This record gives sequence, structure tokens and C-alpha cells, in this order.
Amino acid sequence: MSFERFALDIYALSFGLLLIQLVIGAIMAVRAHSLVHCFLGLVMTLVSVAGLYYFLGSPLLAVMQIMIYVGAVCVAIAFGLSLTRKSGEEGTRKYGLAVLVPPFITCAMLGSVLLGLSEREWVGYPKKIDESPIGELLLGEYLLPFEVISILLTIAVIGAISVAIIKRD
Amino acid sequence: MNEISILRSLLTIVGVSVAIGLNAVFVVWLERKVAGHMQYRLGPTEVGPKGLLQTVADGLKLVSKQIIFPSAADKPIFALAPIICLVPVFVAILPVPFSDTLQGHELDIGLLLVIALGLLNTLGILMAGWGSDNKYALLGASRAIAQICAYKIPLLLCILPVIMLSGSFSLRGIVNAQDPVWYAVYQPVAFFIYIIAITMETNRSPFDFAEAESELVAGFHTEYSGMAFSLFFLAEYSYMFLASAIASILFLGGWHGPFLPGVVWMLLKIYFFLCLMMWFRWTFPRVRVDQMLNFGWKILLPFSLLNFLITAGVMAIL
Repeated sequence: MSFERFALDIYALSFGLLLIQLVIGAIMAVRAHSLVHCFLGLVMTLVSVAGLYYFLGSPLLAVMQIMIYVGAVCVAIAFGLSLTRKSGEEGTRKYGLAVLVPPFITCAMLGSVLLGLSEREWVGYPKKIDESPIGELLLGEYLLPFEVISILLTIAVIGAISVAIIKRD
Repeated sequence: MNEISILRSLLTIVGVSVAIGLNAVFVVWLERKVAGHMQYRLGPTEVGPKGLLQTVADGLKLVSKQIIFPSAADKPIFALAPIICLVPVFVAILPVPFSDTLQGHELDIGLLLVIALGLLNTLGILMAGWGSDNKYALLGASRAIAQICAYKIPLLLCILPVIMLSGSFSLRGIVNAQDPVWYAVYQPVAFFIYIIAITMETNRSPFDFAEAESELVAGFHTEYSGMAFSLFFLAEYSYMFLASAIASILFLGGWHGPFLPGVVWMLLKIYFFLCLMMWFRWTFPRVRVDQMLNFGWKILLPFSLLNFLITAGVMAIL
């Protein structure tokens, strides 16, 4: 067995493990009984998605995914969790026919994506792209949308502060 | 992908593991020695020359002990928490250049990777606090999360001017950009706030609320024993090592220095920061939680933001 073959096997194996982890995390995030287990499932899913970005040839996106989603969003959720009094162990409710809606939507979306991609050429391994134009485009051609988003975030922060101040009285 | 690159990866893994293990052994001994001498006593003297092997003896004792699971603990979370705390350090140490030639893996987004993985530590602490089913552990974990919100934004705002000055996210690029003058000279405010922020990040006194032994028994690791407990310690000292390495790369010119080889300079700078943090620990009393949060949000954040804006303004004018 050559070294190259061995390395490719490891590569494929780790990709498979990542996919399994992603699915387990997603199921845990939806199905777990305790709120903290749901939260940890969400974290697991988000980390696995970061891994997928890495396998798709974009380490920058993977690192950003971990920094923004795991680092910022999940810590904010954890902050909220640590302020709640009950652990949220209510158990899952019974849904009836409504249970069929999410699988239907998932299949429809997956089908449309696969249909859209079927015209494209299939490649075994992704090419790593140069990511530096992203910054140049954001601060050049797409400067206005970029700034509008930052104004939106500022409004959200001001709104959160005003809500907190009103509640305090 | 060839034999040399696989051999190199294996060597990197072995090297990083050895570095993290030896660093923890040495720093625990150093901490006890520093604490001893600051309190006018000797510290460990019995095991090995100058007590150097004391940590090895302690480690052997901890390995031989039983890991006790509390009966009401959330077992998978309880068991995973120390591992989640420790593993990100192994990855985050890869892009750190210890000299011109000694580096695990050169990444053009190395600094971002280190920042992103540094956030996972809190996740491990949260899992430990939640999984233990112990009120002190849970209080410690919720304090750790409140703390991360207070220090992380000033920390990132201190790193931004360095990135703007050097124009690079690569740790090697940042070191090379400060060849004649260190960024500690250009950015004294950022340097100062960064040191405070990494003391908070590594849960060191005077900001060690997550463990706070006089208030919370041992905080988030109250219920841990044996090797699980020592993994938390290993993680803490590895994070200190990593944070010190990043501090010396960002502000003190990394491996640059006269006469001595690069690795020696890098290690000297790292252990300078580690000794500084030990000095803090044995000098300052622990501040209260609300004091720390006020300090983070009302002092560190405005000053780091102001420093960032002034740097950006000066750079735009020049």
C-alpha cells in the first residue's frame, strides 16, 4: 500500500466520520429531551459544517464558521441558557400529521439542489481557491450592502439595549 | 501528498504533544516555585534536583487515581468535557511559528484559527459545569460564560490594529512585519489590554471566577478526580502557553532578537508572559464578578475601541 493511497483513505474516512457526526448532531439538536443536550447537538452540527467547508476547499469559511457560529452565537445561547431557571426538560410533544412536513420540505429542497447541480461537472476533490478577493470585493464593489448590514446590526444592538432598559424600570 | 509530508505531519503531532506535556510539567513546577518564593518559602524541594520532578510525581499519582462519576451526572457530557477543553489547543498551536524554520503548519489565516479555537475552551467548561450536576460547578460554568462575553470583544479589538499595521492574518507575516520595531512600541494600549484580556481568557487570578476556590469549592471542576481533573489543568497551562506565544508574536516580535537563536528568544518571551501571569496571580486578590464585568464592558471595551479608531485614523492620514 503506497503512502499516497493511505493518505487518501484517511482523507475519505475522516470525511465520512464528519458526515456521521453532522447527522448525529442534527438529530440530537432536534430530538434531545434536555435543552442543554439540544444546545450541544447544535454546536456539534455547526462544528461539523465547519469541517465540511474545510473539505470543500475553503479553510477561511471553516474558521469563520467556528468563530461566528460556535464562538459568538452559541456562547450567546449558552449565556441565555445559564440565565434560565428551568433546565427545560419538558419532553417532546406529539405532533400527528405535522411530523410529515419537515421531511417533505427537506426532500424537496435536496431534490431541487441536486437537480440544479446535475448539469455541472463532478470533481473528486475540490480546488482550493484564493480567498483574498473576498475582502477586496466587500470593501469595493459591495461596499454599500456591507455598510447597510452593519447599520442593521447597530440598530439591533440599540434595540436590545433599549428593551433591557425598559424592562429594568 | 507524499512520504515526506506524511512524515512531517507525524513529527508535528509528536512535537506538539511533547511540547504541551513538557510545558505543563515545567510550568506547574515554576508556578509552585514562584508562589513559594513570593511567600517567603521554598516551594517543592524534595523530588529531583530543586524539586523539578515534583510535577511528574503528582502526575503519576493522578493517573493512578480513580475517576469518580457522580451518580446524577450527565455521563457522556461529563466524560467529554475535559477532552473538549484540551483538544483545540493541539490544533491551535499548529500555525504558531517558534522560529524562522520551526513551525507546525503555515496558514495564511493562522491568527483567525487561533482566535476561533480559543473560544472552544468555554464550551468545555460549560459542559463540565452542566454535566457534573453540582450547583457550584454550574455556577462556575455560568460565570465562565459571562466572562467570555466581557473579555472577548476587547481582545479582538486589540488584535485588529496589529492586523491593520501588518496587513496579514498569518502569524509568520505579523512577525516579519515588525522586523525593526515591535508593535508593543506602536500599540502600548492594545498591548496592555491584551495582557489583561489573556489573564481573563486563561481563567487566571485575579479573574479566576470559574474555579474561585474560596467561593465555589473548585468551580467547574469540583466533581472531577484523577486524570480527568489533570486534563483540565493540562488544558489551562496549555492555553497559557498558547496565549503567551500569541502575545509575543503579536506585540514582541516573535522569534526576532539579537545574538541568540530564534527559538530561544521565542521561548524567553513566552516564559516572560507566563511569569507575568504568575506574578499577577500571587499579588492581586480576586475581584468580584460584577467588578470584572463592569471592568470588561465599561473600561476595557471603550479604551480598546478608542485605540482601534485612533489607529485607523492615523493610518488613513499617513
